[in-house]
Amino acid sequence: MKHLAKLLKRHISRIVLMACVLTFALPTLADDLPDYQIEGAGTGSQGTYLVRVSVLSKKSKVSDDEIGRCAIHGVLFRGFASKENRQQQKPLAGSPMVEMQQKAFFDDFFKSAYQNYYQMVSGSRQVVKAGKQYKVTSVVTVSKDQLRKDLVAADVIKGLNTGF
Amino acid sequence: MKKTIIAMLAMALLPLAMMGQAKKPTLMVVPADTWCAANGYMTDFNDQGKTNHIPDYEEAIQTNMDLYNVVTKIGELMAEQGFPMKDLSQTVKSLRQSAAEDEMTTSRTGGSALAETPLDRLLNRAKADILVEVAWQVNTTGPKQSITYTLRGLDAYTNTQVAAAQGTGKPSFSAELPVLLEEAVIEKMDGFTSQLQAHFDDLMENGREVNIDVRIFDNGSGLSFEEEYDGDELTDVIDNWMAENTVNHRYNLADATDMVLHFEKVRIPLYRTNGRPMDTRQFVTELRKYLSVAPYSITSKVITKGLGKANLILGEK
Repeated sequence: MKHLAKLLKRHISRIVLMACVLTFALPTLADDLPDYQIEGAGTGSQGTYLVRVSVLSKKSKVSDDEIGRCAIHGVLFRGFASKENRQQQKPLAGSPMVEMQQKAFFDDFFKSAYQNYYQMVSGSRQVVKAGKQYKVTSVVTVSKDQLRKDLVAADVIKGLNTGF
Repeated sequence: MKKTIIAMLAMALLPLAMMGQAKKPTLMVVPADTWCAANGYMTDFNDQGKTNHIPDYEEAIQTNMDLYNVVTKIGELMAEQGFPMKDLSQTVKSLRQSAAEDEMTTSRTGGSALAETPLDRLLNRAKADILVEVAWQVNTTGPKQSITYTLRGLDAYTNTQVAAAQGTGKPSFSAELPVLLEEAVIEKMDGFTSQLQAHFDDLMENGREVNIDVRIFDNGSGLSFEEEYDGDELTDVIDNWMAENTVNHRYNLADATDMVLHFEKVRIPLYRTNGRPMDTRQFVTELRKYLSVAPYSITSKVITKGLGKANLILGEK
């Protein structure tokens, strides 16, 4: 037992370093997502964001689900802007770091729960070949008020009322 | 034995259960002075020969439909985030109603009117801890119209801007003004609330920021902040108390004369030692109690001005 304690004491800095490396080397949610771009597509109706999501893929067939997943991810952790529509919104989760901090929650959330918060705008899909890739673009409506409420209720992000 | 342990655990957890409910700041939307001036909602009053202009919120909210819609929409969006605001039109109505009722209230036996000091009358105005100022301007270029919209959250007592959102929307050929305004409110609200959230997070972490003035009644007692107690001037005694009782010793003694001490950016804790919410009045009351015992034995009076400002006046009640 004493020997183990000595060993631990001697190698504690190495153990901490290894733990840090392992934590950051673990696959993040973003690694699962395709390469995508997000921008504002105008003012949505109350409680929603209207965003234009472009997924870069080797195949021309990209599912609505994949685009919707990117839309939710972008709204939560990247925020979006549009010069044309004079829009700028910060990430709904507050900071991209929240993705790492609440990894367990978001791993689970992006399995299926995210599907409740987006809707594709019909007739908005465009497919453009760009070099060896396809750029598949769709306009997506994200129910940001409901998404925010549910994340606050799950204690993942803070609400304005938190602490009062 | 078991009962004792349970009782001890309950005692230990009681303050924790009581915490988590800090005093909630009140927010109210008002039209910005620039908007009131541009739209003719200012009133003049004569202040000892000098004409001053002040915004007439009552007239503005009762006659301007666009303002009414904007204030209502902002209130609706804030309520959706679980933070309902004080309503300007109801506050103005209620102030007028209260004033009329107070004038008619008399005691049954002696016919005495309600006691009210000049200070009470002065403080009886539309107020909130954070005033949200809103202003917009319509830009017209040929057939196109756009809206430049500004929203500013001002801490009413520290006079600091705690949140803001500003920008010009996409010009439109066909959209009507109310539609453009509604879009501007919806578009800018999230940026505004995220800054407000950052302000509240800071408040939770570093304490509430308040202003405190310590003054002396001019009653001929001869008391001044230069009075010495065991070699320390009264200014130093109060300064040391502030250092000991603020969060991370954060405060600023902005002005110190022999008659006035003006403390700015005083970070007071959100909770008292018993776990109950702390406010400026409680904090200053602690200072009042500290000064009331020997060797100082100073009688003093606490006057609060909302959540964020209090005066302690030494000399008498």
